[in-house]
Amino acid sequence: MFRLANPADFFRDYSESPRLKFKLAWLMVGGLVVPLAFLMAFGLPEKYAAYLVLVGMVPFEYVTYCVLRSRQAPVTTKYEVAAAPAISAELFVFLSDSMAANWAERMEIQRTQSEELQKRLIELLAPTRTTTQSATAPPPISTPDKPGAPYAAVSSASW
Amino acid sequence: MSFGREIWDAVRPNLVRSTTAFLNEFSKYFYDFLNSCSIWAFFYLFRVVTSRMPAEGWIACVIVYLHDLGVLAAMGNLLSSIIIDIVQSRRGGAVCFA
Repeated sequence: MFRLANPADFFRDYSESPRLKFKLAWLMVGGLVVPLAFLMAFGLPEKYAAYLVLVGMVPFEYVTYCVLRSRQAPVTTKYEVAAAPAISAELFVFLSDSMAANWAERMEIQRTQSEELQKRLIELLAPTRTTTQSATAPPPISTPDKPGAPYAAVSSASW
Repeated sequence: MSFGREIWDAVRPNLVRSTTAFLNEFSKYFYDFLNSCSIWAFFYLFRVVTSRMPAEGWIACVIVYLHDLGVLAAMGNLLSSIIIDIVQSRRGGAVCFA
């Protein structure tokens, strides 16, 4: 049974799987190039054949991908759907509680880890001060009592 | 801080990010190249073998056209594969055009 696939799935699978690329490329050669070569031998102009190869390459590979995927995909019939086990209300509540507890536990772990990571990042990214300034104290501020105090430190620098 | 140093500090993070992304995606382009090379090599050998055959008429036409279209398909396949990879990666692939 032929089923059209989502083009986004086709492009993603095509990009991620070298084996699929290889397979589709060679199927394209066998299914598009060879028939067009026969058609050219029997009168199809070369320019049309070249355009057909270049334009029809990706659509042909998409159709081939759909065929391959249709053959590989498990077919779910209405009998299999009917035979699926029913979920009772008790089972549903149990599953919901388990998932909620698991989710809360994971969120707590993530929060703890992110706090630790944040502390470590703050320690790592703490600005390195020169020897004239301490790491915590702010730079000296010019006050009326000591005018020009910040410029004194600057003027003592090497530049 | 000198002017050149300031420019370099602004450029370097983007350069490192783009280069890293390109190298991460490089294997895909290399596989595309190998795929297309396999098609091209097949049709090259096809031409070498069939050039020794005494073919005539429409069979000879099919052989010649098959070689021409096959090489064209190999080049088109390389181009389309790389474009699809660049669009899929959305990062670093554009380094090819930079």
